[in-house]
Amino acid sequence: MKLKFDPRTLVFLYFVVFFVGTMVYDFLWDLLLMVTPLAIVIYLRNVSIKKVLGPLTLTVSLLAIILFVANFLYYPLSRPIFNEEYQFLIGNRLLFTLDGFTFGLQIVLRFVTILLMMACLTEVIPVSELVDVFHKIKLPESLVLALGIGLSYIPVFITELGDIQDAQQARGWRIKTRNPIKKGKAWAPLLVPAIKSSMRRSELLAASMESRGFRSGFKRVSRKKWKFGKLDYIYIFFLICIALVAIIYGNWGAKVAHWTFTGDVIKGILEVL
Amino acid sequence: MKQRIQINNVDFSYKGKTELAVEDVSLQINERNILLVTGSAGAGKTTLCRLINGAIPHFFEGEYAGDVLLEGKSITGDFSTMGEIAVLVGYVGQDPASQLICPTVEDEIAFALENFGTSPEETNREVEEQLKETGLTRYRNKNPHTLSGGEQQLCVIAAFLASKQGIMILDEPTSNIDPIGSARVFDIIIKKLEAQNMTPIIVEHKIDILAPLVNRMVVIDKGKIIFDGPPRKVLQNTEELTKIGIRVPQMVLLWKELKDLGVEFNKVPITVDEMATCLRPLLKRGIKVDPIEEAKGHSSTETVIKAENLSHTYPDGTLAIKDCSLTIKKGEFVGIVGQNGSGKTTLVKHFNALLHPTKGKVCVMGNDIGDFTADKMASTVGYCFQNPDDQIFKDKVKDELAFGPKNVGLSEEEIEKMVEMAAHRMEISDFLDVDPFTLSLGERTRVAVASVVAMNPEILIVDEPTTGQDYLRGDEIMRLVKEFNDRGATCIVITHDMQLCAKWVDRLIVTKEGRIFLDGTTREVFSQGEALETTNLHPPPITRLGQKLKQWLPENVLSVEEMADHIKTILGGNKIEA
Repeated sequence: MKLKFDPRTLVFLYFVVFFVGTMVYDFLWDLLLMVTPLAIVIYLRNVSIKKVLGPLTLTVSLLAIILFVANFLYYPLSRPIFNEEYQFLIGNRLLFTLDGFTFGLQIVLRFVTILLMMACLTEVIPVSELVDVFHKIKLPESLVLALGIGLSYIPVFITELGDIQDAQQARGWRIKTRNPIKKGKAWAPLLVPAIKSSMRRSELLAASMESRGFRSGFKRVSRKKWKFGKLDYIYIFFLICIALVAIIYGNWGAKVAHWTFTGDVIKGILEVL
Repeated sequence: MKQRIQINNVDFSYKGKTELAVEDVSLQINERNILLVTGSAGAGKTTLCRLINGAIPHFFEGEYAGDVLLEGKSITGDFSTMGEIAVLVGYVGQDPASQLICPTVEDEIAFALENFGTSPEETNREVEEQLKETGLTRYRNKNPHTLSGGEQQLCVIAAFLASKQGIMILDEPTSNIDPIGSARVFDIIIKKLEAQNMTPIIVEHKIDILAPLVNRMVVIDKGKIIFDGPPRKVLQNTEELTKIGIRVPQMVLLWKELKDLGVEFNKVPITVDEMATCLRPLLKRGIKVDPIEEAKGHSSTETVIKAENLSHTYPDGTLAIKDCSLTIKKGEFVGIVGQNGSGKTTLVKHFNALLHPTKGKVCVMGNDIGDFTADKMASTVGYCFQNPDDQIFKDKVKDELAFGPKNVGLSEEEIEKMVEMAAHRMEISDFLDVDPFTLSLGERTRVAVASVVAMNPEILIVDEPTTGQDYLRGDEIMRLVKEFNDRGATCIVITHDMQLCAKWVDRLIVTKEGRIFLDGTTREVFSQGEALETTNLHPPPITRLGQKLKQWLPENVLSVEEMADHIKTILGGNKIEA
C-alpha cells in the first residue's frame, strides 16, 4: 500500500518534526512527538526503514559513544551514582554522578532520535516531491531546477569522487603526512579532477536544458496536479496538535518537556536495580 | 520534398582557439533523410550538431560565419535562444549523466514536454508510452543518476523520443550500451522517427550497425565534409576512410579484397547476411576449408595472478562476482569482455587490491592481496582507468607522468628515467611540457596509460581504453599496450570492442552475471558464437560470416585477410563472375 499525500503536507511534517526537536528537550517526549507522526507516514507510504537506517548504524553508534562520554563526564551536579569507594576523582572534582549519567544518556538518545528522524524524512519525501513543492510555492523556475539538479547530483558526485580516488590510489597515492598544510595539498589529486569534471558537467547540463526547451522566465506546464485530499487534512490537523503539545510543554517549561522526566525514569530504574 | 536543414558555407572556431572546428560546411537535409554523420575523433562532428541545434552560436561562443536555416528560418536571425530552437530540434549527447536534469525517470521524460507547454494529459500519456517502449517502467520513480550507464542512456533516449521535435540529433547515443543492445536501440529509434516523419541525424563510429539502417552518410575530416551520399557508395572509398580513422565494415573490406581477386557483386554487401547471400552460390562450387589450426598456448609457466573461488559483495548487498577462479601467466595479453554489469571491473579491481575478496582468495606474484592496499600494489600492478580525466591533475604532462614513480618512492634520477621511458613508449615525448588538459581525448588517454607505465609495473591493466575514441586511436592504444606486453609485461584489457580483441588479444575471458562464462584463446572463444550471444556480445562480423557459411568456411576466422585467403583457396585462385 502506498498512499499519496500532497507533497506540501509532507514538507509541513518536516517543519513539525524540526519544531518538536527544538522545543522539547526531554527524550521520551521527543520520541513520542517525533516518532508518532513519522511512523504513520512510514506505514502508509510503505517506506523501507532498513534501507534508511542501515548505512547510518556505524556513524550513529560512534557519535553516540562520544556524546555520552563527553556529557557524562561534564555534568556539574554532584549526586554520586556509585558508593563512595567507586567514585572517580581528579583533584577535588567528582567525575561520575547519577545526574551526569542520566544527562549523558538523555542527550545521546535525543540526538540519535533527531538524526534518525531526519534520515527517515529524506526517504519519506523524495527529492522529486520536494521540487514539486518548490514549484507550488512559486520559487523562481531556475532556482527550483538548480535545487533539483543539486540534490540529484549528489550521488553522481560521490561515485565520481570514488572513481578518482581509486585511479589515484592505483598510482600509489595516499596521504602520508600529518602536517595540516601538506595534508591539504595532498588532496589535490582528488580535488582537481573532481572540480574540472563538475565544471564540464555543469556546462553540458546547461546546454542540455536549453536544447530541451527550457527558457528562463518561460512558464512551464507541470504534468502533476497535486490536490489536498481528506487524508492530508486529517494528517495536518494531527500535526498541528503535535506542534501545540510541543509549544505548551516546551514553552511553559512543564516538567515533562525538560530533562527531568526521562532522568527520573532512568534514576527510578537504577534505584530498583 | 521538404527541406529541413540548410547549412550554407559555415566556418566556426571556438572562443580562445585559432583553428577552425568546421570549415566551409554546406549541407542540405530533407525530411526523407536518415543521416549518419561519421568521422575521426575531433573531426568536427559534434560541432556540426551544435550548429544545427543552435548551441552554436547561442551557447558556445566563437568566430561564426555563414548561416544555418531550420525549416527556412535563420538560426541567427530568426531565433534568439537555444530554447526557441528546441521546439524544432532535439539533441541527445554521448554522456548521459550530463543530460539528466530531473529527480526521477518519469520527470526526465516529461521535462521537454512541460517546457513546450504540452497539456498534462498528453504529457502523462507520452511518459507512459516511452517508459513501456524503453523498458524503464520499473525505474520510473528512481533518480536517473542511480541507474547504470546503459539505463541512463535509455532514459535520455526515452525523453528525446517523447519530445517529438521534427529534427532529432543523436550524438553517439549508445556509447554505454553493449553491441547487441546498441543495434536494438538504433532499430527502435529509426523506426519510430520514420513513422512520425521526423528526421534523424545520427553521429556514430558504429558504422557496422548503422550503415544498413540509414539512407545517407556524411563523412567529416578536419572540419570539412569529404564524402556525402548513400552508405554503399561512400563506403566503397575504403582506403581513404581507413586512413582518416574510420572503421569500414568488415564486409565492405572483404568485398574490396574479393574485388581485387576479380569477384564482382551486383551491390556492395554491408551486412553479414548480405555477404553470405552473395557468397553462397560461389562457395557451392568449391570445397570446405578446414578450421584454422590454433597456435600453441602461452609458453610461460610462471603464474602472476591466481584467483580461487573469488566472490565480492558490495556494502549495499550487491553480489558482483561469484565464485570466480582463474590463473594468468606471465607475459599473457588477456582481454576481458562481457555486458555492462557482468563484473569485469569488479574482478580486475581485485588484482591491484582496490577491492578485497569477500570470499575466496587472490594472489598476485605469489602474495595474498588481502595483506596489501592499492597504493602498495601500484609498482607491481598498474591500473589505468576508463576516463583519463579521473586521474589527470598536473599542469604539465611530465609532472603527471612523474606522479606515480614519486609516490612509490623512486629517486629523482630514476623518476626522470622512467618518465622518459614511458613517454617514449606511449609516443608522447613531444608533449612533455604541454598542459595535459589542452590535449585531445586520444592523447590524454595515452598520457594516462603512460603515467601508469612510468611505474614500470609487471602487470598492466587498462579499463576500456577505446571508449570515446575513433577506430584509429583505439587501435593505436592497443598497439602500444601490445608493445609493452612484448617486452615481457602481463597485460589485461577490459573492452567492448570485439574487433580489437580479435586483432590484438591472445586470450579472452567472458564474464556473465558475475561469473567467468568463457575462457580460452581469442579464436576458441569467438568460435562459440551462440554462447557469446547469450551475453549480448557478438563475435566480429567476419567470424560470424564464417559461422553463417560453416558448410564451406571455418568458424574461427579472425580477420578479413584470413577470410579472403580461405575464399581464394576455395575458388582456386580463378577469376569468377558472380
